[in-house]
Amino acid sequence: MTLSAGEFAAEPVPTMVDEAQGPVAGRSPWQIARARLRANRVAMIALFMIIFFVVIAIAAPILQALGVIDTTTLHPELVQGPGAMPTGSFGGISIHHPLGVEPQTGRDLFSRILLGITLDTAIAVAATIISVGLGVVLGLVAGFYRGAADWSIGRLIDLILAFPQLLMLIALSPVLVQRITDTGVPQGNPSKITYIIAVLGFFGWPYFARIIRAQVLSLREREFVEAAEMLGARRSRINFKELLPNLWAPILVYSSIVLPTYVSAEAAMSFLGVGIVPPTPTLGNLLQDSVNYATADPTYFLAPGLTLFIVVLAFNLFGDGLRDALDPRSDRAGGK
Amino acid sequence: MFQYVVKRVLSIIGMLILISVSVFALFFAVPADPARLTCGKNCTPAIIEANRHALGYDKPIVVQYFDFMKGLVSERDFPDDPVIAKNSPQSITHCPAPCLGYSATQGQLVSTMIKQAFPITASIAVGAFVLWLVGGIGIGVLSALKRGSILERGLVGASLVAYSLPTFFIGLLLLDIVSIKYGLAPPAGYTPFVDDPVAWAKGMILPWITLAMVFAALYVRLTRANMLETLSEDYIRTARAKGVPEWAVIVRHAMRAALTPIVTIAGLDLGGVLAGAAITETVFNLNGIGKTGVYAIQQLDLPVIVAVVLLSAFVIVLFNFLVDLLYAFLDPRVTL
Amino acid sequence: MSEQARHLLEVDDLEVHFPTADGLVRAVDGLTFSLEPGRTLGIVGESGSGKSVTSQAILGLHRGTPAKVSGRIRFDGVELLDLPIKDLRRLRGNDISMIFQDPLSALHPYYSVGKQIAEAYRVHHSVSRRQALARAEEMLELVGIPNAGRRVHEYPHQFSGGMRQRAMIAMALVNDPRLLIADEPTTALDVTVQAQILELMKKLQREFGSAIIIITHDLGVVADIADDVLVMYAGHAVEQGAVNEVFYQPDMPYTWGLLSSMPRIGSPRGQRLATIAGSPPSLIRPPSGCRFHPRCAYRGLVEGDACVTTPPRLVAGGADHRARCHLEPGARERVRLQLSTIDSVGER
Repeated sequence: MTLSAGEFAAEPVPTMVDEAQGPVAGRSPWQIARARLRANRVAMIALFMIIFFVVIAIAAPILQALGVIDTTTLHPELVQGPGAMPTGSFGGISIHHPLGVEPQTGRDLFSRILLGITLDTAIAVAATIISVGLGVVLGLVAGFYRGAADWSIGRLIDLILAFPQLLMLIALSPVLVQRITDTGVPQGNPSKITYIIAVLGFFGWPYFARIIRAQVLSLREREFVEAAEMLGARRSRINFKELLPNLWAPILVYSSIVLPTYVSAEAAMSFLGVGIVPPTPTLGNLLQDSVNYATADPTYFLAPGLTLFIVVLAFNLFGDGLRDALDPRSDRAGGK
Repeated sequence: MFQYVVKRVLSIIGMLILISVSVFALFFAVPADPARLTCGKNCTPAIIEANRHALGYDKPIVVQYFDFMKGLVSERDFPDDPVIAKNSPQSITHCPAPCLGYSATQGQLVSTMIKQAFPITASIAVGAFVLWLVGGIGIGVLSALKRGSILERGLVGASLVAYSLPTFFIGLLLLDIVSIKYGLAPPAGYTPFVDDPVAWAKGMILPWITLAMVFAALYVRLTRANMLETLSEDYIRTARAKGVPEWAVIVRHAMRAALTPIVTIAGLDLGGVLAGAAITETVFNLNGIGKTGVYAIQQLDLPVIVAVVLLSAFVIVLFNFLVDLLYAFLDPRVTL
Repeated sequence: MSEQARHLLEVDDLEVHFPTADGLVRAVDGLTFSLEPGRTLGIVGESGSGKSVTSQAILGLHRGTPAKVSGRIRFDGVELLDLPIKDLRRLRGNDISMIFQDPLSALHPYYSVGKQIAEAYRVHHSVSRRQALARAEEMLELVGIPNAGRRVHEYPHQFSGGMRQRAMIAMALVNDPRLLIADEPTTALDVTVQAQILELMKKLQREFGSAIIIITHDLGVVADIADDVLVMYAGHAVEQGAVNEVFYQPDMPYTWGLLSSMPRIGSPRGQRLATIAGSPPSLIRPPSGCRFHPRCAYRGLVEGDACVTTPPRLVAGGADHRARCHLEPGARERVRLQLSTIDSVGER
């Protein structure tokens, strides 16, 4: 050791650990994040709402199969008069139809919203999984192998991001839905659902890839990766054993941001005429149809809109809480 | 600097060529027959065949692609057929360079359509941009400074609500309720700015608010987060330790650093909106680039789809480039 | 002139507490010290012992944060803790200025070094931008930055670590402060640059007669530059006094540990550096009794369980020397004799 190191030989990393004083001691970043999240009342409420929606999403098709809810039966007797508006008050609310019925068709709105939640969450979750999967793999490859792989993936990302995304989502629909049908997926809505999941997932991966790549580039400079390399660990092992655990936080946070935007995107696609069409209900096509009745049948107008809004809001609120909980710097700032 | 610009311009050109190739490959490989759409009910196979030939759809895709690219620098004629040109010159549409093609369904040159559509999109984009930038950044800074107050909770909550509402829902609410039912806002419509600036602004108010609301919500969140992070930086403490008055600490030191990255995002978003605000334009029935694109997609009007996608991609790539230049100018650490 | 006015700075029973989600962090507890013009005080201790927090409390930098600061801080007879923020700002950077650790993050990345120094000057003097910039250039020259005329327009990231630290010092000295607080000014620098910076500070002190507080965990720096030393442990002053007394006659086990963990020329080759066992204590629930007791190797020399139950008071051990320890003076003497390696420290 040289003279320069006039520092303490023992300058320990500052921690809250104290053997003599047990309880405060030794919490992993995950435990800290979890504790923070639990202390965030808004995020916890949002989490319960998400769980609630997930339960609905799972239960709705089962209830449909059991005949408890019915999304398809037409009730022309409930929609009469000019414009075939619901005859009962508040959009035809009754014991059998807790949210009333659709104008024109008389289908039960409550059932349709429940099943709409199923489809929307399923589409959003599936698309998110595709985005995360592609993004993580390509981001890891770009960050870890750098060089030519990084360059090509970077250019590919530039290319994808240069396309006007919303326009592409609808423009590709006539081309690709047909292709999907050709591969044997049933024509109509099943092909459209597959298409929506695929394009949303595809246009979403570059963001994940960028985040992951940046994380990998900074992580691989850290000691623990170097240590693993020196101990002779294989590259693939380092990628998945050492790096992946450190990538969870950004993946989770970004997923929570992306997922609600996919729910909104489904609605936007319905609005622009390339979405899933009735009688299959989605929050998007319900809302798209209901906006025509904004003043004539407020119940019909508000129910799908509010549902969609609450689903998206719950995810956004939870995402915010998650980000605050996982970001160690989120608790600073202030002063004069 | 000069070298960087040259390199970037070359890479932009390369990118645009790549985009044009992929767009051609995607759309001209469409299963539907574009020639079939060129005439109405009284179509005979002979007419379709003649139109197919006249519009060049019978040529291989590669040839069509080069015809299109050639049109960007030299004039074209539709149909490009010496026999027709000789027999009935009045039925020929002359397309001066840069020629983006001919829409058979609209019976118009694509460049004419774009020329009509772009001022509308630009009007929507620029006005909304100013609104969301001022509103979003202003509210974002305010909520960061009032951290922990009721005001902050209210502002952040309101922005999250706006952020969670689908654009078309906000737009239709404004249109149906605010404008049509209660007459609180002038109906949307486009008057050229040079003709009557007041009428121009009146017709744009609702589209501006609609588009600005969604973006402003995002900017409130971004600005607030950036401000909070910046306010916890060491150099803010340094400024306070120098005795700098608090307003100057916030404006000169904190905002200077916190808002610089926002400029990047703002530039990219402006580019994205200039590339077509499809939903807002559709809601308010304004024939901007976005709605032109959506309509073309519904009609399978391939030349228009291709032109709109290419133009949008060009705007996006161009703004990417401009933003990078601007960023290098704003952040001394970035060198080109 | 009253007795008190002799001191430039008087800190009395200072407490700085931070409420956090996990509980109240007692970063500084009952700190008392004073400083005369032209003298230098070194504050030493591990990370998290409260050194930097103390220095920021003097400038009132905890205002507007959830931190609770109590006690008394008097500068030139003026009570700083309840001074209106407007008046405090007039002192900040003018009468009391601060050199922060890690100048790369303490300097604003978007403004040129010259502008940042000029700003510190303009806040307290009504001069034009150009005059302020000329002053900044002058300061850069003073702290030994070559080509000051050109470098004044450069940005922090274009400076080397040592140059940035000099620029930071230039900024702190631009208003000829009466008290200069230097928070780890040399930690990130290599030895030669470190020596140059310390030399510079000494020179400037001779010129301007300022008082200096230097915060460091490097005892070599303290031995080099300070007249007095304050050893902090877990928010407490555990030993304080004149450097010569504290370094030659250290009175408590933590200081012994610090001194013997220093590498130095002349120690036998292959001899291992002593370390202090254990890690810094929780500041939320500090150890009972003497805060150092869980890590203290000499606890056994104290009869009964005073170390665990009773917090020791600061007791005078020499003319200008106090320490916080339950050990009997005789026991201290014996241990000091055993730790024969300590006495060469002062020769640096």
